[in-house]
Amino acid sequence: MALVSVRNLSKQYGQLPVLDGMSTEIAAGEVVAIVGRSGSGKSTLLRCVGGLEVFQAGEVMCGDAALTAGQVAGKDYFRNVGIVFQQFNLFPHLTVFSNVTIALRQVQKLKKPVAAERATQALRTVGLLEKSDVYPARLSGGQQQRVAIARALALKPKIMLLDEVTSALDPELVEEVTNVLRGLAEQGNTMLIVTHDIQFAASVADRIVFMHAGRIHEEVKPTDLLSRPQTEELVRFLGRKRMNPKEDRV
Amino acid sequence: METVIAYLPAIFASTGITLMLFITAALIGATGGLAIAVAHTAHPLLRIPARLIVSVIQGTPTLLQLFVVHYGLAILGLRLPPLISAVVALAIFASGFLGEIWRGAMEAVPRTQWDASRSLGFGRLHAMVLLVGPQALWIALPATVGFLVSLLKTTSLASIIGIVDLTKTGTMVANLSFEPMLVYGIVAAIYFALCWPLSLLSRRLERLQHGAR
Repeated sequence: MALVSVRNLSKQYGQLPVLDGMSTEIAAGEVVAIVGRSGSGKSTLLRCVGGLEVFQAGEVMCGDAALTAGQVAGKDYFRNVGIVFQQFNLFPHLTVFSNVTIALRQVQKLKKPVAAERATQALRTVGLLEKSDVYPARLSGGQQQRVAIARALALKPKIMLLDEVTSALDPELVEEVTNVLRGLAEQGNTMLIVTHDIQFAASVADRIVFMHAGRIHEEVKPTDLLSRPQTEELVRFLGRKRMNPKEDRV
Repeated sequence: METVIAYLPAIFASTGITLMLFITAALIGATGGLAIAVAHTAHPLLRIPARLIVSVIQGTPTLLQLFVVHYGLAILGLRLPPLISAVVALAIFASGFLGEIWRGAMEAVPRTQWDASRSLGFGRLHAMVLLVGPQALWIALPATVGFLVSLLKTTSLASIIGIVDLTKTGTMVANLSFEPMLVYGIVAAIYFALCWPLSLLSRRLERLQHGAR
């Protein structure tokens, strides 16, 4: 039984089609990485699944909530998803602890001790409990991204959506975020990860989806990604990545 | 010199009128400014009148706005006492400028902060009050305090329609004493004493912001 189901999803910005009737499913506990060139529609797919974009056709089911064409996601839908952004998007006027608790207190209306316990647990998971009283500006990029993961994690979403979470980080900081995500995957969290970074995708995901021109072009196991790509487009994408490894860190 | 000394209490007392004009205009202007800033960001249809109001206020002299409120409205049958006219005109002036400062501050908060708020389940108003608003306020503080300095000095225009504020009292004492340099020097010193702390605060806030980046 799929936890997330995307059916015939189409999205366009003005006259520009970005998603072209794509469909996929994600099972509970599965970690799916979406790779593809810039403009292939992978981030838009994540934003549609995350309820941040209104789409023109199709349907997205996430847990017990559904979004249909033209529908604006409501508070109930966002209970199902936890989104982590490329640029962290922490609230700079709040401490690390408040960043993690604010939605628990203000949106989920949890009592203070319950919210504090959840936040403590999430911050411990990402290894940043000792930074609870620090403001985001005083943290490294990797630490900020781990706080953003803790903030999403604390909401106990059915699925974590991660959009290029390592792209804004220096290479030496990527490892610390990757380790946190590996840990989350081992704990059975369901995750949809959008990334340019083939190595990162292969190290975390159970399944890799290659997107091209707003559609799923190919789906492979991480072990088969380099050895058995099926389509010419994926071969070209991987070839370009190998020739220009810097692009993995864009 | 004796005349000037004799009238010093009157000069100091009129500072109260100037402060009253400033505080009232600032409070009413802040309310109007907030409405303009929110209208700008709330809906595209509200953006057009908000932009028009700001353009008119910023594009016309404050003295002219004062004349329109005091003499213009009187021609249309609404005769306001000078003090009310001055407060209304200064509040209009303040709302235009504060609205623009605060609109800019709201737009300076990255759009991604709205995305983050939404993804956590916050509604627009809730996010504005708890998450985006405080960030915009922090961004707007130095410019807001800077504008308040300007508003405080602009209250001197009220003397033209007969308000006996600090400037008007200074003019009257200068005429009586024939010592304009001394009297206007005292008046300028009082304005400076009122404005300087605000200027210092504005600069300090700006430094704090740069430090926080």
